[in-house]
Amino acid sequence: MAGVYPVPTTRTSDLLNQTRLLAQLQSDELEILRYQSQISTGRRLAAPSDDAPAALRAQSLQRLLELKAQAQTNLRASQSYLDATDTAVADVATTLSSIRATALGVSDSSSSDAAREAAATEVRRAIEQLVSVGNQNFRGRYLFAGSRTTTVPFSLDGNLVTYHGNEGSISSFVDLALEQATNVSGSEIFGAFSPGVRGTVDLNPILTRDTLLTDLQGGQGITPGSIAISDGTRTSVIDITSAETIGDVADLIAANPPAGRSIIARVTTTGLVLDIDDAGGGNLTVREVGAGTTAAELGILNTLGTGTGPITGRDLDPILRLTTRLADILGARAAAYIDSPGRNNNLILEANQLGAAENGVTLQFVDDGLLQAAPGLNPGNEFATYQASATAARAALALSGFGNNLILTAASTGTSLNDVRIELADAGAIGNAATADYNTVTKTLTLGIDSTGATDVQALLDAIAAEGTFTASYDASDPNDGGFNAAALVQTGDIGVVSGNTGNSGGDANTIFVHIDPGATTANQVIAALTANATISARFTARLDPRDGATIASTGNGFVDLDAGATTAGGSGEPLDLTSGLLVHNGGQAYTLDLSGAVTVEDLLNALNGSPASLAADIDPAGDRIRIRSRLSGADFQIGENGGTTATQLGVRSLTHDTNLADLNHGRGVSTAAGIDFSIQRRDGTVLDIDLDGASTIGDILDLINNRADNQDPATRVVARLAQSGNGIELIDGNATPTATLQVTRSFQSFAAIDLGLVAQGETTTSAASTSPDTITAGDVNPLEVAGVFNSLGRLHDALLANDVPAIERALALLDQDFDRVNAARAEVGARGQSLETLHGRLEDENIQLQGSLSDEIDTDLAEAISNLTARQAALEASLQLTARTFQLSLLDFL
Amino acid sequence: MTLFSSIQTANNALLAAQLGLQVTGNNIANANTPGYVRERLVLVPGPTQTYGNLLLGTGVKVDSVQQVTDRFLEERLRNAGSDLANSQAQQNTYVQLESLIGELSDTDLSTALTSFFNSIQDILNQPDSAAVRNLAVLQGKTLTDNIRQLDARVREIRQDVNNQVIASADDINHALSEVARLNVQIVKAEGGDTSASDAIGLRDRRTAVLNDLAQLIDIKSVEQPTGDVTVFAGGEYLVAAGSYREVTALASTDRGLAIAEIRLKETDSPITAASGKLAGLIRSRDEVLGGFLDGLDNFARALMYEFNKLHAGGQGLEGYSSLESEFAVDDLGAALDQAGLKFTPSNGSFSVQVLNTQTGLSTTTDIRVDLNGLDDDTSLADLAAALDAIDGISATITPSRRLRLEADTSFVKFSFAGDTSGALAALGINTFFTGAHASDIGISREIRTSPGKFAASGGGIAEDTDVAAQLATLLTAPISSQNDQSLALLYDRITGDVTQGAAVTKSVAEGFEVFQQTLEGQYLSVTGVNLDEEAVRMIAYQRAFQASARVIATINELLEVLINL
Repeated sequence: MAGVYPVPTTRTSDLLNQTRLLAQLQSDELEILRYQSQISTGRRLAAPSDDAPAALRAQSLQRLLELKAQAQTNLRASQSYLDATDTAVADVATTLSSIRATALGVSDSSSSDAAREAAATEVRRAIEQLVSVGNQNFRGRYLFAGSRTTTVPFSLDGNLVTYHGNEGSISSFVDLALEQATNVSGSEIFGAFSPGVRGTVDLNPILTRDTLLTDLQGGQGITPGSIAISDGTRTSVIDITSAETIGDVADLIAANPPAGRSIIARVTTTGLVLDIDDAGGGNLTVREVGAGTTAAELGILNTLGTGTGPITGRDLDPILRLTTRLADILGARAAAYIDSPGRNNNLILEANQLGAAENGVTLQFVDDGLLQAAPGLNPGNEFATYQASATAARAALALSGFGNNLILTAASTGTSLNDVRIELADAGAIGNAATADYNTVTKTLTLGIDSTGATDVQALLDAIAAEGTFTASYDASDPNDGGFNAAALVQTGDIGVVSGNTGNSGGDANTIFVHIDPGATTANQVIAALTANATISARFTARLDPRDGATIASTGNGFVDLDAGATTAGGSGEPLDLTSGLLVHNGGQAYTLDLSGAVTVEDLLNALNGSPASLAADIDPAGDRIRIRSRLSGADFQIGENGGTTATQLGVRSLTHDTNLADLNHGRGVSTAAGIDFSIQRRDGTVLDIDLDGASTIGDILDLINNRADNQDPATRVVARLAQSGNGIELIDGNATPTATLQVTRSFQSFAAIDLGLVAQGETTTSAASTSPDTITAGDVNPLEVAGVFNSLGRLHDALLANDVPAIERALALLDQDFDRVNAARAEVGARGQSLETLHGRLEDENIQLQGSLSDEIDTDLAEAISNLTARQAALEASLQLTARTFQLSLLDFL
Repeated sequence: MTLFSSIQTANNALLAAQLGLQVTGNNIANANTPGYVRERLVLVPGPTQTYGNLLLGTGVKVDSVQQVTDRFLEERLRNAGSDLANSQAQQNTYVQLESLIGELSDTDLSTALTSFFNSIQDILNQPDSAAVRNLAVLQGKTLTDNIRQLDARVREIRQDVNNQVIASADDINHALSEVARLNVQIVKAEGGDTSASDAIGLRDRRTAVLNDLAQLIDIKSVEQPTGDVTVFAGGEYLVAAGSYREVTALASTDRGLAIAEIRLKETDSPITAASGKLAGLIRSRDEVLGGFLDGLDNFARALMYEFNKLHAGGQGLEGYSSLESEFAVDDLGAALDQAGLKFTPSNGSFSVQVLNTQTGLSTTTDIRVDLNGLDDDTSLADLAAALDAIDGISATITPSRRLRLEADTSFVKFSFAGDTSGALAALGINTFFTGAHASDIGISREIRTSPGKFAASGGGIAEDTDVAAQLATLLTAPISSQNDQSLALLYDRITGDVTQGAAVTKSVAEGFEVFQQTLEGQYLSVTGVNLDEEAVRMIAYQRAFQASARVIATINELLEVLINL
């Protein structure tokens, strides 16, 4: 609306009158036009800028309305899926109850074969019918395939049903940011997976530089933030939010040390190690920044400080990934970090194999020049030796003259006589004799010789031998010395000039000696020497630490420090046995799964999933172990060893030490009796009576046998263990001079031996076969099965045909569980439908409310607009009249 | 004193009355002439003459004809005119911009945006349907078309505004030459300050030209004692007496568009206009339209990159058997964040899944994108080598420095997952949107031709809908690179800025209009002709004429008496 401006007070002119009147008319007509368009369009705002705040509110209201409209669409779609699911599930419940009624009718022994056969046929039809229910497709989606909606979920082969879907959910946004699943997976309703064979073994992948931060702390990850590293005076705050891997974190720390210092940050197989340069002193601390938790989560929080010593972070516990290498699980390789001062010269010596066996191997640099009278090796000729037993320290004494070079060897092995200095001293006029004196405090062996040069080398040898700390012999390493001459004199000019030193030449057992030229041998040459030794390179691999490199090109060019030895540590576990593979029984078939080509966890899972054994293998949700389940309903499922240790190591054996006896034989357990349950006859004829009272797990039974006081003689004992091939208990009697047959006999009143698979059903005794007289292998008595409708029906069908009353009863009990599951799933579907219904109503209400708010913002208030229009009209009319009148008035009329 | 001298006195009075009628007549004639300044006849008493010891008047003397005006008011009015023109120019731009955006209608960009994201929600409803995915692709196409069109149209307006800037140089030159010419004429007519009268028509004309000039740029004009005006703008003089300095439009480039700047031709120094239409045009061009284009571009880039980042880490209903990256690097050996890519990837990693369609099993390989800036950062060559090392696919770099991936056999398909680095999106691999700006945003050809490649799944080819669920909520999800603002908020801010700017400019323009009208009212009240007033004057002059004539008649009778003696 055009503004009203003041009337000047002093004077007026005709032009002013005209302009003002025109402005007045313009403004009135403009307003009328505006009201007119408001009324005709129904919109209060012609352009958003007419009322900016309202327009902005309206804009977000419009978006909200559009989003809510989509939510309604989603909701209707979800509802249609759930309705279809509900209908299908209702059929399942009906079918199951009719089957149950039929089976109950023929479950007693009085029913006729024909009746049972008829019932079995009905069961068979029910299976077919339910498979078709399970494969129902609605709007292009297989309702029960989990999130694999394009896969036919169930396939029927004989009585066995395989599930091809997964447990995934398909969800839609039924309201803003409210995701709701619109499906119930087949496994949820029908039960399609066996309980997971999920062992007790934490596969414990090691930490590598490439381990993602999100995989640390059991998959919890590291909260992005900053850490503060201080040397006591200066602090560096390091932002690690850009780090992706633990290697990045180490690099960021190394790149941002406190001003003027240098920090080496390493990634070990478990955590981080931070080491500040010793030269600057101070106290290395790692603190949080603000109220952060990053340093603590990285395991390097240390507010007290470690002086200049390294901060060793705690185990960061990374989870398994599909790409985790199988070589990186089940323990760590032993490693030693050989840290020489300065750059470009640090080495890492890492074992090739997992395991503690490679721990405790010490690498020592030895100054080759000290070990013989001849000059030491030149750079490039370094060599390494491995000594399994302890080595005595030694030192050469290159005396002047010919035929008198000596090598002194410590009388005791080990490192105690390392760094011993051997000196010549003037012992006065003692003639052809010598003295030897070893000072344990200064670690000096002082050899006294005649002041006139009368002492010959033999006298010196004798004196050393007499002293006893060292033995000495002629050192023939220098051909110029001319061969041993016992009479060669020790010249007085050598006193204070010629000396020897044992250096690092003595070593404990398991020591790698690298002979070097101190101050001239580089890290690269050390690696070459270690690689050249076949014994060492078979066990260890040496590499440079790139973090220590100033540039890529110069890494490894630095000289190693003579005293920079280190001992391997951190090795644990044992390598995964991939050669033997797994033996899987499923659906009455045995499958040998070859895992030999597997490099990563995914390869392993692929080998399992891709096998014809109908397995579903994945990484357990906890992230630290693998899980193997069966997708095949209606049959027993077992995983055992194939002669190796693969299953045990991966923790996927279906029968383990920890298996409860009560769970065996499909939960029927092991029926024991008071007193002796069974007896084992050893090959020496001794009979061991076994009473299972108090045993609750398989391990307990093995212990009962193995720990018996009368079963400890290695020559005659029988050992109970889990089978090397397949599953079950195995009895081994390695008696070299057998006098009897290895036998297991059940006691009359106890069925325990049968239930444990040691004695066949209906038998009383099992004897070792003549082909393997030292072994009795029990059958696997812990078959797993899919807990589900198809399994129960399949079992019922088989039991009906076999007239196996206990089996029929078991199948009926399973069916009851299925009932519960189906009903629970149905209730779930119903509850979801219910909540969608509620949501639907709420969305409708919201929609009306939002429309109302939007209307308030941008729609015309007709009553207001019309009354304004009328007012303006009146004003315009008045203006027009006034204009006409004022223009009539003129003095000229009166002249 | 004689009777004749009395006749002469009366004669002077007759003449004065006649001149008075002439001036009044002129005023009446120009009562409706815009810009006309009313005139006034300045009469002074005639000089006295001595008669004995008496001092007698000699009647009336016509001193001058002057304009009745207020030079200060004139200047203020001109300034107000500059301000008004400035804000009106901006308002015009805003009106056009607002109608282009068309917010609050059903055809605006925000509706296209919501529709696109809604269509992704439909994928969640029917993940198995390629037709639904195709619909999402089509909605995406509508969205990108809208963004591109909006960008192009705003650029057109901007071009148009720039053309007006160029044209205003000619207008300014024309006005300057006119002022200089009139300066000379006025000085000539008024004889410097020798005459008390004003050079009526010429001054009116000059005032009008100065007003026109002030509409274009804010000028300061100072009238010299001789009657000519000196005109300044932004510290530079433009007109002095009869000379003026020409201005010229100098072309340069901004945001990919040729723009012009007004400079003095002889010294090449820019004229900094703080007000006037030119200032309004330049602000419209650079800040209003330019700012909108920047905002739209930022929004489009955020949409593309954030969407692509998620999409690049997802899998469609089918995998790829070959693909070529959209964007090329400048330097194969340079770290990816410094290789001249349109979007900058960060330190992170992604996975490549190779699916063997015969066995249905896939193998995953983690690819590190090391961009921590410390050591050995990943370049395109490194990336190609790492990808090439994966069994089943081969990676090469094309002569145009793009990455090319190819499955080794026909039953191998590959897909990507979990990209935390943004490298795939930055290279344009497995992306949904193509382009790097609002002006070239589009939909990937790969997705357009096979909508099944729309990456809805996060756990493998056609496995689930995890990625689609994230994509569907991207519109309202906070984006860390944009200070935790969501895409919806970014868009609202662009349109909000325009709406707010338009509203503010509108009210400012209204304020200036009222102010200008107030000043004009004041000015007209001083300079305008009032017919009643003129009528009164007319009667006064008429009566004065009649009285003077009567004096002459009386003297004539007296002379007759004397003659008849």
